[in-house]
Amino acid sequence: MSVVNKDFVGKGGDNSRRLPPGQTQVTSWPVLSYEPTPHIDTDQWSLTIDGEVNAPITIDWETFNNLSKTQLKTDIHCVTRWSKFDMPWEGVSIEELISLAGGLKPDANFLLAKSFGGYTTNLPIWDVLNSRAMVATHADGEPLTDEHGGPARLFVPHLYFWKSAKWITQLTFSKTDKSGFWEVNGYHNYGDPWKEERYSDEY
Amino acid sequence: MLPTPAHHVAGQHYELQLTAGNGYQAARPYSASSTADDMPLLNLTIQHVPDGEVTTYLANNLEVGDAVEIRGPFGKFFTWTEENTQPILLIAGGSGVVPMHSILASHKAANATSEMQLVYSAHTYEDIIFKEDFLHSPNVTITLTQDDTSWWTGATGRINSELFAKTMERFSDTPTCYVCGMNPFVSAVTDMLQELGIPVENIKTERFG
Repeated sequence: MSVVNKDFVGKGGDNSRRLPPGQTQVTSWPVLSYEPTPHIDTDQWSLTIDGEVNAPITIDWETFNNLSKTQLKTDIHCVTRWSKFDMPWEGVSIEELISLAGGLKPDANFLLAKSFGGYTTNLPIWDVLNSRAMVATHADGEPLTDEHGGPARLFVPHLYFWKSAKWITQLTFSKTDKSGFWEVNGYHNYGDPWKEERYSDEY
Repeated sequence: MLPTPAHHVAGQHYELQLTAGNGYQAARPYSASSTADDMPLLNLTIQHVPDGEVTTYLANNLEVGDAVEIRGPFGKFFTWTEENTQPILLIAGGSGVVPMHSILASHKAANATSEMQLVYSAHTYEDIIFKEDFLHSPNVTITLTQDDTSWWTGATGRINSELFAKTMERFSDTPTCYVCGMNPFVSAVTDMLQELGIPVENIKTERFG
């Protein structure tokens, strides 16, 4: 049970202004994936943190689950125009994973996240720091199912949800930005739901 | 005051979480400015960011006696313990000085003899945090970037190679550099350190937006 902070409103505390423009609230959790749904056994699972970090590392499921966990109840917004409110999420913060890989090198400016099937998405480094992102294992108190990106997916709730890559297996930090799968295919490079950054200007 | 003591290492941060009446939550990481020895009292020193979702509430609404949720400690990389006997140069911009305060306080509490210096860039004299601890410390150099006081005899202007060279004279060997501050500050300082021949392996960074 969370402490309720009296008069705290923030971006989502006022129900009348909680939905970003062009979105509709849903109570179910729709599934939308480019890739066919893979099933990844946890004994086959691994996460690599590499690129502009001091000590690139690949960890297995057990090591990952022994890391300090973080939780956040928040809203998610899909570019296909649905939003779902009040979802509790749990996982390991990106800062914790960066720590495990020896910290960022000074030139780390971007993150390219890669899924088991090869799907990629790109983010500025700032958007995954400051407790704003995690590699999530649980939503709504349950382990993530295959169709929702289990056993672990990236979780970046302040951007459209395609940025929260399912079936995550690699986090590569880089000096320069490199567009991911949807970003190459017409979606916006950043994806702020509050500014309706759905599509790239060229499309 | 924490209900149970947490044992952080100097330089680590905690996550502070706010919950609205409708269940919406927002969390942000804040570095501890106190040492683990002060437990169960935990000091988080937080700068108000205009329009900041969390800091605006903390600055304007939170009152003594209110409860907030804290999770942590986090971070294994931007830390210092007394087992670390290497020379250390801490470089901070603005509220990036908060974890440095914890590191310096821990260094002092442990009676450590290893070399440690802090170079702290603040806008004005008013903006200097931890004045009591820093102003007369032989281990702290403060530079004011927007100084408007005629009586300030310390350094002024942004951290540059000249100030850096002066600080380096206080070290017997190449130090490990800890850099913390806003993203542009960290980028500028790490670029400068590398140009001046500090190897990348000797630079640890922590940034915020």
